[in-house]
Amino acid sequence: MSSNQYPNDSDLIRGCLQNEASMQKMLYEKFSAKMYGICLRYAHNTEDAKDILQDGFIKVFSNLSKFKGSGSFEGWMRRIFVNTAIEHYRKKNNTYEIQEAHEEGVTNKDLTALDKMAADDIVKLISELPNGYRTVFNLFAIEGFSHKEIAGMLKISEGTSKSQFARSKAWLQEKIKNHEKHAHGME
Amino acid sequence: MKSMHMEWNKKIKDGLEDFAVPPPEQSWDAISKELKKVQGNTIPMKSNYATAVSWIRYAAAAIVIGVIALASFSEPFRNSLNDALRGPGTKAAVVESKLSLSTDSLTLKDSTKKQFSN
Repeated sequence: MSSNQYPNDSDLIRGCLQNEASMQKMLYEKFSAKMYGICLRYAHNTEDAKDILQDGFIKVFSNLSKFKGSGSFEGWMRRIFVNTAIEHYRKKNNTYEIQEAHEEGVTNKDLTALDKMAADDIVKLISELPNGYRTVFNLFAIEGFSHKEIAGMLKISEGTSKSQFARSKAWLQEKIKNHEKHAHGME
Repeated sequence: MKSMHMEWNKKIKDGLEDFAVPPPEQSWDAISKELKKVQGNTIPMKSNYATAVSWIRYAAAAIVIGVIALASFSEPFRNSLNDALRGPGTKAAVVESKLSLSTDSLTLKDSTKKQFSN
């Protein structure tokens, strides 16, 4: 079922507010792939991603009455899933740091390597980052929050947010380059 | 150099912002089971309370209507109802009481008596 075969968002919301199980399932089916994509980006493994997905959807269904319809419903859901992922990060915060990453400039080779890499391979690499780094990377590079906002959300300093992003980016660049070299070697 | 960094960031954002993967089949079962638990803890409790309140309201209304109906048709019931509410010996029917003034019961103050005598 493609997303335009589902009822529109306001009909889905109305049905879910009346606790109609079929509407709840349709809302899940319509958005679950995108939301699971977010969960995978923030999680260390698929088990954690499934936990975030479950908690996120329970929060969505429990707080539907709070959605005022002022912005996009998908945007509202995304914020819930990102917040749920941050809560998981707080519970499972590990302290290990990236030591081996050397911050270097971005070259054309880096951009080409990035172009050649599939999104799910990049997500797999991101999942290997330590929790804190992964969360900062997602919030800054993909969600578009500022380091000041991230510092407030994760209760860290702005400097920590900046350095964690720089290190995780350098680490990713290196991994992506290695991935491309490996792919060429295999050809 | 800065623009290369920005381009790298942009490529990452564009490539991953709408990254979507269908979740495992059994995920919905787990979510709907959990959802039923959550809803079971809140909504039915509210609805049970609401049902109980409305039943009490209906029962009270039925009792009041029954008593009014019985009282309007049955005099013995009316009398016993009066006895119960006001004490025994009171009849429900309007008791015709004659208001009479007995002169014996009139007592006048001394000052008033003087006024009359004058």
